[in-house]
Amino acid sequence: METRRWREYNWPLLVCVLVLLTIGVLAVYSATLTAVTFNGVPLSTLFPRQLVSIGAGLVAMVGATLFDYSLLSSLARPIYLGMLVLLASVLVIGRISEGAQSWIAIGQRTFQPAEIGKLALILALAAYFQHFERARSSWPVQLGGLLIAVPPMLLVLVQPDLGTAIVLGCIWLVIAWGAGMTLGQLLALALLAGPLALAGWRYVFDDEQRSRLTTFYYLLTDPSKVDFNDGYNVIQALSAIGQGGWVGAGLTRGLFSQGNYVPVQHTDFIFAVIGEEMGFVGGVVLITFQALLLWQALTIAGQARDTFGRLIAFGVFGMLFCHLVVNLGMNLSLLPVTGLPLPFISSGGSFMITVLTAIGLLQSIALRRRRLVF
Amino acid sequence: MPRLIALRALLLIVVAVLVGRLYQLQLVDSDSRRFGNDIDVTTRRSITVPPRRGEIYAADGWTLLAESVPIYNLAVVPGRLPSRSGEPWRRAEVLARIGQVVGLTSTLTISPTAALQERPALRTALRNLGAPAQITASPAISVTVPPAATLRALQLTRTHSDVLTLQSPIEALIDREIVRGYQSVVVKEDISQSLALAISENSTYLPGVQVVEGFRRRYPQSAAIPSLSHLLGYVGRISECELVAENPASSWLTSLADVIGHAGSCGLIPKQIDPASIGLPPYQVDDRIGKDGLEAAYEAELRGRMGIETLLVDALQRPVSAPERIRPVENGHNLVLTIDTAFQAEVERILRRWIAEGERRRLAATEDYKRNYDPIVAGAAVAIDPRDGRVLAMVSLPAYDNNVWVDPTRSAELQALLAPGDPAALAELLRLAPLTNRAIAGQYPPGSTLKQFVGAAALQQGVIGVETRLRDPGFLQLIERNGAPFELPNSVRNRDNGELTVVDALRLSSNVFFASVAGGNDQATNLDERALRVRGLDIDGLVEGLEWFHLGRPTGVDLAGEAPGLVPTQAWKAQTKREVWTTGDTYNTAIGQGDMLVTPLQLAVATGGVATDGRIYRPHVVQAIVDGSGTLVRAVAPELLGQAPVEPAYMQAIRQGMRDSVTNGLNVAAREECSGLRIAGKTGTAEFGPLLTNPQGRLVRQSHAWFVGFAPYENPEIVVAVLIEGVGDLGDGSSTMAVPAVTQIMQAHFKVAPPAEAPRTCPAMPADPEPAPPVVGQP
Repeated sequence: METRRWREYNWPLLVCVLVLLTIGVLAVYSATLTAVTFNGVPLSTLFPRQLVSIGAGLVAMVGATLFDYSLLSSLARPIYLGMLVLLASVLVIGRISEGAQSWIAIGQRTFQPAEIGKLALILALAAYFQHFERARSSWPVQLGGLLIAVPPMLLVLVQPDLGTAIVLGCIWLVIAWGAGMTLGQLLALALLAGPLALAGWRYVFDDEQRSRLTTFYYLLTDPSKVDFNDGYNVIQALSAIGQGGWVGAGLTRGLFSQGNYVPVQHTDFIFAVIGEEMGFVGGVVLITFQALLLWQALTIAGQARDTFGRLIAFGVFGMLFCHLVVNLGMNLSLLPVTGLPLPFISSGGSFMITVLTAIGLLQSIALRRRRLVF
Repeated sequence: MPRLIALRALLLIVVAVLVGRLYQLQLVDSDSRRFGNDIDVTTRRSITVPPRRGEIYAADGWTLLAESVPIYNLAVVPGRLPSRSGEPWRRAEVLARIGQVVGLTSTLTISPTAALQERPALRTALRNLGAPAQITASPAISVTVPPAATLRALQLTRTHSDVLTLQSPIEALIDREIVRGYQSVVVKEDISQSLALAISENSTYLPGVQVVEGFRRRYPQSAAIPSLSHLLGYVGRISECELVAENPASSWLTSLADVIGHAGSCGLIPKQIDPASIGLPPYQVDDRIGKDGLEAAYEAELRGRMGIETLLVDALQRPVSAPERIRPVENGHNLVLTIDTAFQAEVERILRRWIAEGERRRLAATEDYKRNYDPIVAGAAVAIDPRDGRVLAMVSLPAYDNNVWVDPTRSAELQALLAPGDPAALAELLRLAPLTNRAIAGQYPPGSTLKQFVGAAALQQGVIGVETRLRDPGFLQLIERNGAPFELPNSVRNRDNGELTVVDALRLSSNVFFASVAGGNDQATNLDERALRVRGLDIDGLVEGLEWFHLGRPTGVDLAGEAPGLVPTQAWKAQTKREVWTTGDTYNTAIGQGDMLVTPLQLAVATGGVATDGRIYRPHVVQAIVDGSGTLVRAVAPELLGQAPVEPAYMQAIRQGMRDSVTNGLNVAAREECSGLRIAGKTGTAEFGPLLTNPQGRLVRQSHAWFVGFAPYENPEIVVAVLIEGVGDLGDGSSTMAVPAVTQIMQAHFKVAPPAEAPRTCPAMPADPEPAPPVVGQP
């Protein structure tokens, strides 16, 4: 049985992960080589920590691969409730970092409960829709799925962490779609989106988020109107990417990347470093492998043996796709600035472990996929 | 499965959009630059390397008179400070921090003051900062915060941000219109090396604050020999008008804009247009520029040229590459003067000695009105070599130490020199004028020292011959054309001198003789029929003769601030005084009175012309310009200003008269048996100021004492002119003070000691005053 099972293992997915991790390790190395924080603390200590995180993430990935995902079905409810408790507690005991109260300290290390929240929401929604196997497309069941997604979204919005809220929304949308959301429901959602966006602009967004949107608007329409301070990050990222050309300046050779011009270039704006130092070729390789990986996630979803597995795969796809689009959209100034890391690439422990665990889940689903009947 | 296919399609669309956008940004050239963030603009910085200002050496080539000492300056770059709107507190903190460490005085404003009544804690805190205990009920009060309390004041401002504002003096420096955001503005000069190091190391916490290297001027000899200060001049911060005038415009349009833009404050400035001047202007805000003396006259040679280096910087403006030289810095050239410091010091000591003697005589005068003269404090001495125009010494007293201009710790002394608060002190300052170089900028009536030139002109223009004898009955009377009587006395004594040749007249300093050759004695009413009548030069001929000797216009000495003197003409009088020229005016001009004015340097230069058969050289203080390694750049060659068209025989007669005034006249101290030198010269007692009544009931005036002489008589090598203000009638000041002063200066030059066994007729020389008279500008 073991031999046959490993034949089911999705090797292309592993290759994608390893290629992306390699690009990520190189990019983080270069991005943290000379960079300092705005008050002068060198970032070079982040590189070894990133290696440790990747190691931990790979262990988690292998663990998740070996673990039978279907056992999580019965644990989904406590996991979901525990996630809500964690997200609520972070608002009380959490540490404030870079404007958001989203960190919890355990000893010397910190982690972001919101990252676990993404996986927890995937499991919860997958289990929920599996539970209502027969009526997944019905209005009440679809509404119920939304009701499951909204509490964690609100909790992260309060932190405030708009990016994670968007990711949670994406996860819900893709799972709901995979579960059987009808075109009518999608249309209703689209109709609701207008008033919701207006309400969000009025009552939920703060000035910072609003200025990001106006900056984005001007970047697209009339760059000369962009306030240099408001648009600083984006302008510097664009300038760095613009320097890349076909093959880039070479690793650790980018003037913008090595000269501290791109803020948070080791996390949210790491693509600017890749763009400047690895050029168009590097950027296309990165996008290609991200897309291949997402393609595999959908393949695994299509081959999953049960609805739970299939919807988990959809959820993981939603999560990674959302990160990719929002992050690259921001780096390339196609979308407003929203702080989300680039999967497999950006520096950051919690997210790396979350993503690799999610990949492990995908492999677990792949290993236990439907038997092909001849 | 259609749901999967939909997502796959979405994925492919997203990939296409992302790759397309990446292609657009990276490979379509124009888009990568559409924010104008060219990599060079963002990461490359130009830094200027200030040139080292050239140094000034004495005649020996190694005694430093002005040096450039490397220093550290604290500067801010306004564009890199935390922004006023965005991070006001961070900005205030940065400014307060540097204000505290370098000792700048900030101002704390409290408005409204009502808050003081409501908050006793605030009142106490303010009092601790040095606020007046009594708070007036004005809408706003300002408290001067001592530098050491700046951060405490900032803390207080933070607590009471509604009523307190802390104003750093740096803001005012930055707010000047001329300052650009990327330029560094010097906030404090000459900070200690340890402070410079500390600030550089903490640059992360002091955004926008820089330590820049610079130079400070120092005048090592000026404290010991203050008279050097007038020669050297000083450097000062360039003014806005100077900045506009000195920096050439790149086109006539910008030139016009600049000139019109500054016309309100600077008047019309001549401005150079140089199309090649785009880029770094030669002068920047806060640069130093020579303001007076040699520093101003040789600004172009001394300044050098700024170097430019570029380097790559990161976002925190930390350099990430070694500087790359775009244009090497060119240090200024050094000057070697014609002045020997030992001789200059000796001349200064001698002049000081005789000024002190004048003051002693004033206090000891028997006549009341003389004792009421202002204290005798001022004088000037000039020694030149008539053969090439080299200035050997130039002293103007009272002098000051020009280090007060360049030593920040002596700003209080400078303030006292420029604008003392006390009105009495101000009046005294205006009288002393210690900043004025009297040798070139002091314009005095020459008195009888003009007679040698009048005589030369009369001989050359044929009014008289060498042997012509004119009657001098002691005074000259005439009736002017308008009917008014005019009388010209010889001197107080009015002695009948009989008939005189020009040589005799110079020996006796006969006013009547020289008035006669200038204005003519044909109209005189007090001469008998037998007396020879001459028509005279008339004013036009007199003016022409005086101009042969370069009187009435600047000599062109290489020092800033030279005055032209004045040779009055008919046209000048008509224009200035709206009066007709009279024969009496010609008489007065011929004896160096009336409106005639010369500077001591002019007199020495003109007398040099007499000494050298009419060759008049431009006087110069610089003998050579050398570069930093001592290689000669340019030697200052003697420059002939003109040749007075006077027959050598006539010049010889004039020199004979000047020689006789020493050997046979009153100028005993200069005689060979007393001085050991063969001196010729002419005294002058030049009246000035209001008419006074002496005890005999005669109207008199106070007068300056002059003596201008040359030596050796047969082969003149030096001309010395000495002026002592206000001592002319203090025991015949010219022959008993100016003459011995010149004699001693010449002895110092020729290193000749007075003969050991001088005859009894030689006057006794006073000793140096003890203590030395106080010099304004010195503590």
